[in-house]
Amino acid sequence: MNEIINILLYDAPELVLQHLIIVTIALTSAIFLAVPLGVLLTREKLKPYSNKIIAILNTAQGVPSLAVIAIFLKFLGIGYFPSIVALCLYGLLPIAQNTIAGISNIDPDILESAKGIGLSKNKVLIDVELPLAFPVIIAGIQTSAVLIVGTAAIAQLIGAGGLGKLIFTGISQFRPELTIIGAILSALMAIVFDRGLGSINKRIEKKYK
Amino acid sequence: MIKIEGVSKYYKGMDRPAVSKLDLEIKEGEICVFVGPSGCGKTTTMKMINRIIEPTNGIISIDGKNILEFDADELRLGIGYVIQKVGLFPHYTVFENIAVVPKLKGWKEDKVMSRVRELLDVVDLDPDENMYKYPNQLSGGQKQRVGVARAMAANPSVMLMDEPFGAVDPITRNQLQNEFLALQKKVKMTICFVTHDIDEAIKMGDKIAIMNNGKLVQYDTPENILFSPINEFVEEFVGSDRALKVLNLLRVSSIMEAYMPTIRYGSDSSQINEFYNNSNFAIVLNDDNKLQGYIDINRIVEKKNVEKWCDYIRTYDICLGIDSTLKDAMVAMLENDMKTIPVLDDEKKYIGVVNFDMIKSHVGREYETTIE
Ligand SMILES: Nc1ncnc2c1ncn2[C@@H]1O[C@H](COP(=O)(O)OP(=O)(O)OP(=O)(O)O)[C@@H](O)[C@H]1O
Ligand SMILES: [Mg+2]
Repeated sequence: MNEIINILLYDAPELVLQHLIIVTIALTSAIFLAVPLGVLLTREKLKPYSNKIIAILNTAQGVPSLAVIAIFLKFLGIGYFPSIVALCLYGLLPIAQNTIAGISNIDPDILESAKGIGLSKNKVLIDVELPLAFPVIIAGIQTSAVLIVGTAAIAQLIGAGGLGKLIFTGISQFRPELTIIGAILSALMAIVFDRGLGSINKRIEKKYK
Repeated sequence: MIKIEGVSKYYKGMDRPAVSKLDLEIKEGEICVFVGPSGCGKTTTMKMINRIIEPTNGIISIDGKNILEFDADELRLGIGYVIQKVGLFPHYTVFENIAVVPKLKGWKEDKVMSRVRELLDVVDLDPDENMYKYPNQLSGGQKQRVGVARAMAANPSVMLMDEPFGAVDPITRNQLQNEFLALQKKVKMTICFVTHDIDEAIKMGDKIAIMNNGKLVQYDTPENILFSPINEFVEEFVGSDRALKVLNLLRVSSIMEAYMPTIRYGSDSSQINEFYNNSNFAIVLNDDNKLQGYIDINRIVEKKNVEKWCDYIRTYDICLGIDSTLKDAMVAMLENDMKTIPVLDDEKKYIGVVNFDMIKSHVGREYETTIE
């Protein structure tokens, strides 16, 4: 029991922080890549290809996280940076997918009237499409965040650090308590991300839904 | 003025044009109603005017300037646009929805605010009550009103309306139509109005453009459409109840008469005896010409109570405004079982009456003169 308290007091905080940093950087980069990608794929010129591109990304998402990590090991070596790249790519799809879904599901009458009263294409995107797709995009970010928090633990295999360290140390040293603490903390972090992002949507729903 | 010259539109994958060699001119300040069966090309025609759709051939110009010379967004900012589904922005309040175009045009904040209030008044929505509501908190009719207000926000001289009153119940529709006509009387926009309802076309249009299969079949005044249909298609489209439709076209202001004697409330009874030989009824008015009711002269004289004639005043359950159509008048007569209905002006002052015989003879006359 003492040992567990020791771990929680002395080892865990730093590892949680590390984990948090990795996840935040990876998630933020995923958002900044995936939202514009999703938007691009809903523009008139690229629309015909968006289904195909999403199908390809979908297949890529089917690759188990462990394999993704392994592949990145090959290209980028090990360490902090390759882990973040791998996690970021892994988190792209849900966000891109939801950006596309959110924008394509907007009532065409709203878009027609926006264009009809004289909003430019950019104005329509910024003032109408993105705000209306926002709740769906947030839902995508939620999915992605949970995915990244979980996968970040595995990324310890290529030297990511964070809670994965606790889990894998537990496995290699036959100290299941370490593994369990790491897993629980990682799960808690996923829940916090999920709830936190979800609360943004609740606020919007109260406003005009 | 909107001029459409030799305009055609071919959609990809369609073997016939959606709109075919259309020529037509909408005069400044007029409402032109496009009407025709579903798929005849009304919406396509309208959307070519604000370049939502680009024509395959032909030229469209507004006030003599080819619309292709404008930047497309700039052009649309100057043209009001209302569609059946309204398309209000759900994440904007009523105020923000109406303010979109004025803000884009760089109006100052206080000017935008006063304009929005003015417009909400114009479309008969209480500004304080509705300004900060979101569209999902409005009824269908209220949404339409906001849609019209949004389209008119920056005083466009041209307005495009695609079945703007199509999605509301008949009573609200009638109300919206009347309000809009009253409004148009003041602001005189050049309006392109699409509907598939011939009654609405007759009521709203200065001119009616009847289309079929992408072609313009007849472009004429409602009277001529009703009484001189150019071919069987138009005749059939107008329907066999032309005499009834004409009721929608004529306003009570054109037929009402002030033939009934009037008497001031409280005046002495000598007048009653004067009326006795000429008329059975008299209209009773206030000092400022507001309607009090009417009296049955015979009855008063019979009762030998002429001195106290004011006790015998009966009120009217219903009155008509001068913009009411003869159809409104007929409906009022039938519903209230009345032969004569008074007509009031915008300030609710009495100006005359309409009765059933007047309607009958007028419709008959209209028929004869225009059919020749
Ligand atoms: N984007 C499009 N692509 C291909 N065909 C179209 C398109 N829009 C309209 N059409 C076709 O063009 C024809 C005219 O359509 P339009 O929408 O102008 O008709 P409408 O008179 O407005 O009919 P409605 O009363 O049903 O609204 C129809 O046959 C329709 O199927
Ligand atoms: Mg249409």
